[in-house]
Amino acid sequence: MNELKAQPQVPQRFAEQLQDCRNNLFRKAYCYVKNEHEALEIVSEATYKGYLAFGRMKEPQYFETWMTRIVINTAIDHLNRNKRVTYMEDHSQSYAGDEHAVPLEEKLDLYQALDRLLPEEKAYIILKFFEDLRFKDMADILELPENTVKTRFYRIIGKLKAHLKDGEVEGI
Amino acid sequence: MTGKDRYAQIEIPAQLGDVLVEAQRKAAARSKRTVRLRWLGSASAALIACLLVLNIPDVASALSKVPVVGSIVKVLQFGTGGERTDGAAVSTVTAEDTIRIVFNQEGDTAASVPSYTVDQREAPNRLIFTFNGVRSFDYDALEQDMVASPLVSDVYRNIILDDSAMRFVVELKEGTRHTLTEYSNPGTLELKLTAEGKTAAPKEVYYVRSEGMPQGESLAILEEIYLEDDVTFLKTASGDFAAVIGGFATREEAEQKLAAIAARENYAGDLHVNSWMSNGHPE
Repeated sequence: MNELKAQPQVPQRFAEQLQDCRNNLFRKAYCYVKNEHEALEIVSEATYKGYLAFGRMKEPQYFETWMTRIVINTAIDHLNRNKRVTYMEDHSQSYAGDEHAVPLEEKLDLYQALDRLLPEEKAYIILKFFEDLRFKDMADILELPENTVKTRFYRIIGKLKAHLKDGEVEGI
Repeated sequence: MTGKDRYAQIEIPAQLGDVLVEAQRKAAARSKRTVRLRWLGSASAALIACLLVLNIPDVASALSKVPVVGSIVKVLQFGTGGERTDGAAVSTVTAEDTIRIVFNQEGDTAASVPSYTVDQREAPNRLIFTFNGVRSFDYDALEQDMVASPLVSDVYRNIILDDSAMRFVVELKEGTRHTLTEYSNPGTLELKLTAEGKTAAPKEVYYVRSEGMPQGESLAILEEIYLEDDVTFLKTASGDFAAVIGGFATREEAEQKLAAIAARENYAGDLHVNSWMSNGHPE
């Protein structure tokens, strides 16, 4: 039997790989909408898109990275469609710091703070603080240069800190 | 409890598995239909491209008046083309009756046009463009440029349940002919419009259609339901949108089609037969 025939069919490979990461994908979607029904919708739509595009995926070993990107984009589009965004004003002062020099979690409920970020900003908090990813891995998921990810991440942290100082964040 | 703890404790709903299986089932069904349509579309486009280039001298003549923007990949009136991309951005350039849709990828000019489909339909005379793999589509600018053409009567979007795809309808004035040219390096799709000078006498055309409704996901869902019936979406006279299947030359043909749809187990009774003039719009 030749090698090609021994390969599992595309639907089967997709289903198997999805099975391994579906809970993680759901958690990420849930962080965007904080609602089970909508999170299911997002993961369902992302699965639909992922299935259709699966044949184009170049590196099968990065399936979860790839599906995470689709879930993030789907969630952003979902929020933008529904325009249910509460976000802070942009205090976009430059903010530089070491990757580990941000003890923000001790001062601020980041899970709650997600609600105050733009849809495009939420992934940086989810991936860095909740998933403990390195900037390099975040860059792979977000398809951005690592330095761009760092710059945006610190800008978001800067925004949160500015509000922390102003005492505007709930629970502080 | 830290944010990370709360994240880890997000409860996974029991129905997640079923929801994902259903999404894969829908995608598999869609995939089969797309392959079938793509094959038919490619074959038609290739045939028409050959016929146009070989047999219609004025196409070559018209193209020669436009500055060369890249290498011609194909000339067509409807069909499919382009290459699979992700995240292409779109801008338009208009000169007289030539509208160029230019694609960019990550700030640079894209080498090829993203995967696209162009359908040509009558009653009214219109082109339906669908682009896949485009996320930054400045639709408003495109609409503004297209509507500025004296041979275009209207441009409007169709909602599509895929955020990396974009579909819009270009209604052409009666007697307008068109040619599409796909270029590579840079990836450009060019729509050339010409006034034929004579218009065919309007005729009554029959459709199976939905009620008019505002643009939105309800329409997009109708596409999923009636995809195999070759459903399209038309702006109504009042500015709403309707899903339409047809058009048929006679009311009997339209009624036969509706009867075939109504015989399906899951038919929700949301369609009826209607007619309008080929140069008009549904009520």
